[in-house]
Amino acid sequence: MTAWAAVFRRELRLLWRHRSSLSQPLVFFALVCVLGPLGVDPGPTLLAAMAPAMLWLALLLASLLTLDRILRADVESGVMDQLLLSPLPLWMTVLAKSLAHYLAVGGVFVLAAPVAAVVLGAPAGSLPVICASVALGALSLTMLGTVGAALTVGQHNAGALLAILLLPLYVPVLIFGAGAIHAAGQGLPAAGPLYLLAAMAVLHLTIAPPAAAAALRIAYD
Amino acid sequence: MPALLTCRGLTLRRGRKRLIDGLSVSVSAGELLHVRGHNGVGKSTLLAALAGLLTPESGVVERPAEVGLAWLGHTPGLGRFETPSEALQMRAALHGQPRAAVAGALQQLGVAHLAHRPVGQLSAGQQRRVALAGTVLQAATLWILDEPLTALDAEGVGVVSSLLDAHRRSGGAAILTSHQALELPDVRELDLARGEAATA
Repeated sequence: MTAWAAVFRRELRLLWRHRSSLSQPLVFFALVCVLGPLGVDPGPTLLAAMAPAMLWLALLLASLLTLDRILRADVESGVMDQLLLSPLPLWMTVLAKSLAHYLAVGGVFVLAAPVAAVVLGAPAGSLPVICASVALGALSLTMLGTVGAALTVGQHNAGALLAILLLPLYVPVLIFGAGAIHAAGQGLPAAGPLYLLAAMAVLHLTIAPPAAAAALRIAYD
Repeated sequence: MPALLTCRGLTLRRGRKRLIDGLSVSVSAGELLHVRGHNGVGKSTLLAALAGLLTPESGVVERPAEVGLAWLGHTPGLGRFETPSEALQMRAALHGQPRAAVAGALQQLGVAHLAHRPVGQLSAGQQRRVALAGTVLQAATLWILDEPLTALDAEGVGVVSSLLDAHRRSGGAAILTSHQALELPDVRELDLARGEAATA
């Protein structure tokens, strides 16, 4: 347990020390949210109808930008060699790294999403649902993203491949994340899609660490 | 002497090229095995396979469960944005060593004064010394070191030689590659070009 905590703490410390790697995806997220309405000549009705999808698309794309750092730097510097050969099971190492990433990146997006939603004209009453859907959805995005990052860690230019691999897997998160916000915006109960997001988060939290660990081992062979 | 590590019929491939073909070698307590050979002959690949980082194409590598392994690859295994002290504290936690041992390990390699500088600001030789401090810190029986002397100054080479000597005297063993000659007696050599182990 102390070994797991040591890996987790190191990851949080490095995220904090390298904050700019988080601010760039955040700016990217804001830009996508602002650019979308400029392209479609929106009236308030159209904007409100589009807002949930816009918000979630921006989130998916911005989260893609953050994934490469989870594993690549440690593989290139040889830290991963040490983690692979340590007594701590590799899936627990991967879990520590991805959970720390989720806390930092997911936390930033949970704070940014309501601001973006207000800019896009979402009613104030839907803000709690927006925060909840982003908090739950981001956990799925991070966990799936860790598997993608592990699969592409041996590639030199992994960005496009990562997007091709992951965006199809992100579809359910997009549907139910945007669905929850949509329902809340119309004053309907949003519990259903939120529960589904939570179920998906639990599923991904369970299967992603062993899958990413297996992918990493293959990358080393 | 009980064998700390044995490999039998080891065959390794990098891409389509077969580097090592049916190598059998065993390392016992108190031995230093110096793997030699020209660039590209497969020294690093062999060491990675012996450490368990690579799965061999065929053959087996056996290491008793109670024999701890400390690995030093050609990269230092330190993050650019962490300090030597932080990197080694995580290593200590991973291997169940007390945090207090970190300062002593850095001291042994003569880099205690660099403990709180980011690794990215250290020279290649200083990073090598910090990485070797990590090896010492693990208190493992078997060391597998890929070019531990690279980038070290003459004093550093002396420090590492005496560490290796002390390690084998205390019942440990080491497998290493180096293009520099080790200034130690009784080093067993394995020449990959000739494929035979001899005692120099």
